[in-house]
Parts: sequence; C-alpha cells; structure tokens
Amino acid sequence: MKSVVAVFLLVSCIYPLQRVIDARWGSEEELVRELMYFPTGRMMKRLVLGYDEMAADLVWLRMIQYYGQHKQSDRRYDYLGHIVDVLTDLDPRFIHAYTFGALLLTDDAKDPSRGLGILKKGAEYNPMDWRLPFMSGFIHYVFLGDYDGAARYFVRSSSLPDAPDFAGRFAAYVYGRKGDSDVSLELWSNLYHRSENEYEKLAALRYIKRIHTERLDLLVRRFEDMYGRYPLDLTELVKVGWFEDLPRPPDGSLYYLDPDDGKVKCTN
Amino acid sequence: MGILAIAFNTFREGVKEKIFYAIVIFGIIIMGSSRVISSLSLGEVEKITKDLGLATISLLGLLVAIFVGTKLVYEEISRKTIYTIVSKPITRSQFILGKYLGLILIISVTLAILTGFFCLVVYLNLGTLSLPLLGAIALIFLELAVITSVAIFFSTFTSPISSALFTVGIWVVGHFSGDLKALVQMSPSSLVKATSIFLYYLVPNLSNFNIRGEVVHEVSVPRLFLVFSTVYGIVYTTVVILISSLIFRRRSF
Repeated sequence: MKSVVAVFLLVSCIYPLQRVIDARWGSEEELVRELMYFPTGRMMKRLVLGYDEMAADLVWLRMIQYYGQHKQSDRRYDYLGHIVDVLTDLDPRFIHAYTFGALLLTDDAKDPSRGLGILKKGAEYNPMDWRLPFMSGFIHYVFLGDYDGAARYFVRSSSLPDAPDFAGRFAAYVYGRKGDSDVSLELWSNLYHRSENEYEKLAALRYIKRIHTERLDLLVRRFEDMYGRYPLDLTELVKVGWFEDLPRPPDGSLYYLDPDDGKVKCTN
Repeated sequence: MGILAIAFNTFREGVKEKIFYAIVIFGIIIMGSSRVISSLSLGEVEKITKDLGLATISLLGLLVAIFVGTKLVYEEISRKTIYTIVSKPITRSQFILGKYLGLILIISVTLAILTGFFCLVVYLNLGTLSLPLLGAIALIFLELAVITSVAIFFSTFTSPISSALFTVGIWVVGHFSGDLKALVQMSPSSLVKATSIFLYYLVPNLSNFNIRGEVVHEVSVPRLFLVFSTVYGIVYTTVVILISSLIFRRRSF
C-alpha cells in the first residue's frame, strides 16, 4: 500500500515539475538552442543512414514550428534559411520546401536574395519542375518589382513539362502590364487557390486584402473629392459606375467603410 | 524436406517471441499516427504518410531481423537442442539454410502485416494506392534478406549481443558505402584507397535497395537498376549463407 501511495505522490509531482521547467526554460528556448547546433544538411544526410526523406519530413515539421513560434512572437527568423538549406539537402526533390521556404525568407525574413538562392538550388536539382521558376518569377514581380526578371522566369516556367496554363498567362501579363497591381492580385489569388499550405494561404489573403483596400481607399478619396463627402457605404462606388461588383476577398469576408476615419476595412 | 521442417519450426519459434508482436503493434501505432502528424504538415499529407510508412516498415523489419535472427542459432546451442537436430539425418548447412528461411518467413509475415496496414493508411489518408509503393517495399524486403543473412552469419560464432552489435555495424557501414567510394577518390594514400575499395565491395551496399525517395516523389527508377539490385541481393545473401554454413560445419559443440 505504501508503494502505491509513493507512486501516486511521485506521479503527481511530474506535472508541476514540467510546468516549472517549461516556464523557466521554455520550449522556444530549447528549439533555438537545438537549431544552433543543427548540422549541415550534407552531414545530416550521412547520419540518417538512408532515411533522408523521413528526416526531411521531421525537419519540415520543425521548420513549421519554428516559423509559427516566431511569427507569433519576435518575428525574427535568424535560422530559417539554415533550416530550409538542411531540409533541401536532405530531400532535394521536396519542391514545396523550396517554394514555401523562399516565400517565407522573402516575405517574413525580408531576405529575397536568400529566397531566390534556395529556388536556384532547387532548379539545379529539379531542372524540369515548373514550380521553381514560377516562384522565382513571383518573387521578382511582387517583392522586387523586377518585371523583366519576372517575365523571364514565367516564360521559363511555362516552357517546362506539366506547366499549367496560368504560367504562360502570367508570362504574357507581365510583358504587357509591367508593374500593374492587377497582375500582383492575380498572382496572389492564384497562390491562394492553388496552395494547401495554411501559411501560404494566409500570406496570399493578406496581400489580396491589402491590394483591394488600397484600391478602394483610393476610390473613396476620389469620391470625396468629387462629392465633398464620404460615400454612405462602398456600394455607392458601384452605383457611380466605378465597379461592376465590389471586390471580395476569397475567405468570404467583406470590405466596409469605417465612418469614423473614412478608411476601408475588412470584416475579418 | 529437412530444410523446410527447420524453417517452419524456426518460424513457429520466432512468432512465439513477444518482441515480434511488440514490433508489429508499434509499427501499426506509428503508421496510424501519420494521420495526426500529416495534419500538421501544411499540405504535405501524401509525402509524410508515404515516407513515414516506408521508413517504419524498413526500420521495424530490421529490428525483427536483428532481435530474432541473432538469437536463433545461439539458443539452439545454449539450450542444447542442437544435439537432437544434428543427430538427425540433416547436414549443418541444411540447418543454417533452414534457420535462414524460417527467419525470412518471419520477416515476410511482419512485412505483410505492416504493408497491409500501410496500404490501409495510405488509402484512408489519400484515397488512392500506387503500385510503385509495393516496389519500394519489395526492395526493403531484399535489404532485410541481406541483413538477415549477416545476422545468421554472426550468430554462428558469437553471442546474441555481439551478433546484434556486429549486424547493426554492418547495416550502418552498408549505408556509408557511397562515402567509402568517395574516400577512394579523395585519399592520396594507397593504403587507405585499397582498404576503402576492399570494404566497399565487402560490406553490402544497402543504398542499392533504397528507392523510397524516388517512389514518394514519383520519379521513375530504371528497370535495369532494379534487376541488378535484385541479383546483387540474391548473390550477396547466398555468399553469406554459404560462408555461415562453412563456419558452422567446423564448429564443435
């Protein structure tokens, strides 16, 4: 009986002990410490004894965790490039790791050259995959404003086997409408509908809403200049013939005019 | 006839081992968890389900080969049941071959159970099955056949613990064979070169049996490579079993 009581007492200590450990030396700290010692991908490839793809999956899950933690806290992504590098060394055919890694490095870590470097590495291992030059074109157009570079990549992407029609369509768009925000909007909408990655979808949605609200804000200002007042609501912009229909973000939310500051906002 | 009797007897003995059931149940749990793990994977359900399943089949098959294989011959000697067997009209080579086939049968059953569950998980997660996955599992089976022969080889002259350690060592070096070859090209020393070449051909090149990455990424594998890998596996296994028989024939009890 004494030993049963002892077991219960000791088991009940585990929960508070772990709570103290988590509070003082939290899992995020542990994660960063671990990532500091993450060996190079080439070294890891040897250590995992043929289970490269499985190891890459574990690093992929760890990357998502790392990104998620920092996105919700300090928004610093010091080790992200290193993790993507290790991941793609382990599994050089993991296309989503290149494209998603490049997007995070460019958009969140503000390091587009590293993002493009990852895509270049991917294209060396997978020269026939259309998704890698497509993402390079995307980054050149949307983030760098390099429309000629973007066009070159979209053309390259559209010429590869299994490239969807929209790769060629973007090549044509970019040549015809350099710097046009319609093209950016199309690119983000395309990514939103194509991706199964929740973070990619969120980034796409954020940019779609930003482009829409900037346009609507501009029209509200124009309306104000013409009529000397804010529109009563955004449907007035449709009534004056500036839109056939109000734009709507793909997540089903709605844009509205905040009467307090005259700014366009989104319900979600 | 004697070989088959030993093989079936070995199989019966093997499946009595609790570790066998523990490994199979563990495999089923790991593969079952792929649904949960892949839900955190941001759209990589297919890759993670397949990678996890194939790695589980390969690793757990290896555990069966090592845990069961390294004990088989040793236990016959330590329990003195070997005297009953060698007094029968059966040669020691037949005994080793029977033991090997029995263990292969155990591994086949393990792989069949795990593969069945893997296919179920793939179907539930992805709604479809692809034939190349079975090709990857067939090569995992060949790799295990080679490792099993190595386990039997060591068990003819050492204790189970030593055999297990040596077999794991060979498995590890077998996955480093690409590095051995690189060492040949990089090293200026002729001694290192000669040793590396010797080890490269001596130790089984287990990367010959790994097409998991290609299958998961739907990259085609040359048919000739599969043929050569299969022949390599069969020849290597035959050689190791023959050497094991030679050693066991000279052994006195």
